[in-house]
Amino acid sequence: MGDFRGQGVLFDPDGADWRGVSPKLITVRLIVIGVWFGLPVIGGLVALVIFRHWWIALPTAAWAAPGAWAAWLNARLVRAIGYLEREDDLLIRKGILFRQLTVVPYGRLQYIDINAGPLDRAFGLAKLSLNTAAGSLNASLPGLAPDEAARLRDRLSALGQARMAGL
Amino acid sequence: MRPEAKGRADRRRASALEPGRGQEAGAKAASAAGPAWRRLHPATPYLRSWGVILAIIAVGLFNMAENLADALDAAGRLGWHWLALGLAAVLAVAFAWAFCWWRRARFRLAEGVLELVTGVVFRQRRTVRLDRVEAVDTVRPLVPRLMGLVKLRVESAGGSDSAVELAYLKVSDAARWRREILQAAASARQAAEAPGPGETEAAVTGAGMAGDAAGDAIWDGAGDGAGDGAAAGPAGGAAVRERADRTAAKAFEGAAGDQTASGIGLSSAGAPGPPKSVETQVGELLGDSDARAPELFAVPTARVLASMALSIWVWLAVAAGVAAVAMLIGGELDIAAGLLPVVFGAGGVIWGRLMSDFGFAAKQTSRGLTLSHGLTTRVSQTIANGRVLAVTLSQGPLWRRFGWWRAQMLVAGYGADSEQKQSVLVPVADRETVRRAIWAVAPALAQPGAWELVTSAMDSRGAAPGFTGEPARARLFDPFAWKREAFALTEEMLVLRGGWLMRTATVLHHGRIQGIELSQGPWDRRRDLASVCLHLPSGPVSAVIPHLGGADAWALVEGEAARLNAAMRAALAARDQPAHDQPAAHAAADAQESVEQRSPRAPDSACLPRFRW
Repeated sequence: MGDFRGQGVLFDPDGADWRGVSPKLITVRLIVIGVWFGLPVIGGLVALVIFRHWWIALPTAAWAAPGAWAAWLNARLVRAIGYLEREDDLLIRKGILFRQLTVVPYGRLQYIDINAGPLDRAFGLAKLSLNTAAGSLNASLPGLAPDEAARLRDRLSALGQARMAGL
Repeated sequence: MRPEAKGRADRRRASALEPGRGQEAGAKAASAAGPAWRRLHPATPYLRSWGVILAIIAVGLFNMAENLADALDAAGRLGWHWLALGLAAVLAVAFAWAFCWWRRARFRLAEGVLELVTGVVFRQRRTVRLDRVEAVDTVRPLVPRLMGLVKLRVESAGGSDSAVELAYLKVSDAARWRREILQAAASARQAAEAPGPGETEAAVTGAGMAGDAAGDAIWDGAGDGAGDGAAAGPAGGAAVRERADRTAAKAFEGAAGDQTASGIGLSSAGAPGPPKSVETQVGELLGDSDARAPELFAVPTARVLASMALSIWVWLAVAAGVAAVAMLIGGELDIAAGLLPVVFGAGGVIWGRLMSDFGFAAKQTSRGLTLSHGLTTRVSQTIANGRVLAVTLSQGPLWRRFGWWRAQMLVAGYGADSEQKQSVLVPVADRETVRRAIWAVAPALAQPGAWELVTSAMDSRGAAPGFTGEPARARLFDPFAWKREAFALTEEMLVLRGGWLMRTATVLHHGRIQGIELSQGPWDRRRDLASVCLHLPSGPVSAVIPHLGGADAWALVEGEAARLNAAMRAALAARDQPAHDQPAAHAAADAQESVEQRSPRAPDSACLPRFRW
């Protein structure tokens, strides 16, 4: 995937063929950012215009800054999400500034969830969550096409069952 | 010994016919206890709610004391006989309720399950599958203890709330029930694991022989022999343990082929005790006589008190207390009041530890390690062989000159109990005692070279043979602990060291890792560093190695993924070869079940970057 260039060898084992998630996730996340940051900021601006108190600008700006930051990074962050199915484990990669690579061994999978909220469904997306016995492991793949999510779920649970039996 | 031999023979006959028979045998064993319902001790409702009763009385007295005169006045106006009558009515209702509760609370061992039904209006029925039972611990809080009553806590594989408590029983009844539950559990597990008809012959002859031989070796070597040896003091006990090690290993060499040691918790095949063949399992449970078992170690009270005095919490409590008194004298009441929570918080930690660690003693039984501890509430827990997933050692700065360490273990069934009193393996002890305790739960560490790595992890800094640590360029991010944070590998284990003031050394099995995480922030990247976190089931052990060099971090991630998968494959192969029925594989399968069964929980913060001391 294009945007993985420059992430360094550390997060790109053997130049393998990583798969990205759907670009529609960019839109979905933008909408979410808009709701969380855009609406309050608009409200703040309206209040500023109506009441003309300069200090209203302060919380508005304080709220707008992270929103703008999130919106600016959004597309790159989504493009940075990738996964790689290997023989024995699934690798999930996330983040640009703070990078994270998670190795989930198939034989350790306990259950796999597919979640799709209303916004996700409207855009035809689903989120796959992988759960092992470690509560601390946060391995999820947002922005998958439902078909791909179902395929991954079936494949991973089959592989998991085959490998888990022994241990 | 004899009854277990008989049980083994029964077992063989049962499994030789058909798999269903095993189940029947299990059911019969259970029905020997009677599917009839049993009652708890009649004092149970009072003991269970004495806290509430005390609280009501205390609140009542407190309120009365506020305006005693008014209360007396009102009582006088109302008439004393009415008051007495009211009180009697309340008491009668309470007694009636307690009686109903007791009448309706019951438990029994039925077909493959332990059932407990409680409640008067809202009935609650708790069912434990016997083949999932991990341990039956006895708990003796102060008041019931004085009355000769005991609580049985049946731990089963599952989340943190999977324990079922049979409270309260008479001591003699409890001992009998404990045996019966363990027997039924062994039968149930046996039935669940009974091989198919086709494989029976080979499995029985192969594993049976191994089981017999190993069982004998364990009993003669570790059981009786060490029983005598333990009298000769700690050194004698250790020597006997090593002897048992060798005999057990020898017994296995002939009968059971390849030693698939990888992938079975911290214990490995050929270790003393841990191998649980189908045949020996029942016998081991039956022969589980704690009284006969040799004492592995005991922590003297003076040591516990001294270690408390040397813990940071005490100093914190004392400092805050002194400051509070000083402020009080100086008239700064607000500051004094603000310090009180610190005093009580630190004091509470100390108090809790003291209550829990008091009189800590461990015994090696055929079934595993039996720990008993506690001052007011006496707890006796058995850590079954192969159940310990990881061990972490810690040492505060003031303990260092005495060479004391605290060991905590990660056991799947225990979950992340917040106070982690159940997870203490050694509250405080010198290195030799810690070694014995760890070898008991992690025999793999008894292999040559492995223990040296652990001792090195306990006190080495900077470059040490076998260890890969943070490079000097990580110093900026980890100014205190950077020389300590490191990892080392053995064939089966991963050894981590860390901490600067609070030193830690952690041991885990490659095959127990649930997931691996590599993370790198922007500042890390500029210096080519990355952190690795090894995910384990929730508990007292966290395995994070921060700020490794990029290449080292990647090698660790890749290597650990490969080793983890190899360990799983080995266990799988061992399980699929009944002829080489490696008992360890069963232990592994059991342990996995226990991990499998855990309920989902909110993500915890084991891998969050944090400032390390």
